Amino acid sequence: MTPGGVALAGHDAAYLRAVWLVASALGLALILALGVIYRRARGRRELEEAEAVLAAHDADDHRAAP
Amino acid sequence: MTLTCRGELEPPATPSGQLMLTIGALFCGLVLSALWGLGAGSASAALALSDVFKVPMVILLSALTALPAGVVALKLANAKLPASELVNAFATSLFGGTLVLATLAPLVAIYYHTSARAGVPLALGSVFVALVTATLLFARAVKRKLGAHAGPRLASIVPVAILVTLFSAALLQYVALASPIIPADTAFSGGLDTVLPQ
Repeated sequence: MTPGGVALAGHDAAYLRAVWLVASALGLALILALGVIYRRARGRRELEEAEAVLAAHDADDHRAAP
Repeated sequence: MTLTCRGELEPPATPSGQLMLTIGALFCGLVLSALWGLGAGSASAALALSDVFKVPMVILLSALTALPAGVVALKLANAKLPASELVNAFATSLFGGTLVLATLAPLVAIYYHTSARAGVPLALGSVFVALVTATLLFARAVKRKLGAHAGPRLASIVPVAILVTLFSAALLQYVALASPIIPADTAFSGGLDTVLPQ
C-alpha cells in the first residue's frame, strides 16, 4: 500500500516505503555526482578559455612580427 | 532559456560548457518542479514540504530510468546524433517542462484552496501540459541538432520516441510510489494498474 492507501503490485506500505527510500538515495547520490561533474566541467572550461586567450594572443604576436 | 528556446548558443559551447549547461538545466528544472510541489501540496504544510523533495526526485528518477535506454537505442540505431547532444536536448526540454509546471503552480495552489471541483483536475492538467511542452521542446531541440549532422533522421527519431515513452512510463510508477503528491486519490495514485484496470 502507498501512504495514500493504494496497493502497488500487492506490496504493503513498509515495502513500498523501503523502495522509495532506496530510489531517493539513488537520486540524492546522482545529484551529488552531478554536482561533482559540474565543478570539474567548470574547471575544465576555465582552462579552455585561458588556452583560447593564449592562442589568440600568440596569433596576434605572430601577425605583428615582420 | 536561450538554449531551450533557440536551440543553439552563439558562439557554440565547448564540450565542457555543454556539460555544464546540461547539468545546470537539470538542476534548474528540479528547483522549478519543487516550486510546483510546494503549490500542489499546499493543502497542508507537511505535504507541501514533502512535495518539495518528492516532485524533483520523481522527475530525476524518471529521467535516470529512461536515459540509458534512450542512449542505447541511439547507439543501436547507429544515429549520427551524439549521445551528449541527446542528453543535452533532454535536459533542456525537462527544464522547459518544469518551467511550465512552476508557472502554473500559483494557479494550482489557489484553486486547491478555493475550488473543490477544479483543484485536482487543474493539478493533473498542469502536469499534462508540462509533459506535452517538454515533449515538443525535446522534438524541436533534436530536430535542430540533427540539422548539423548528416545521415538518416529516423535513426535519431526512434531513440527520442523511446526516451519520451520510457520517461512517461517511469514517471507514472514513481508518482504512484511517492503518492500522495496531491491531497486526493487520482487515477494515477496506483500507477499503471489503476490507469489500465483489468
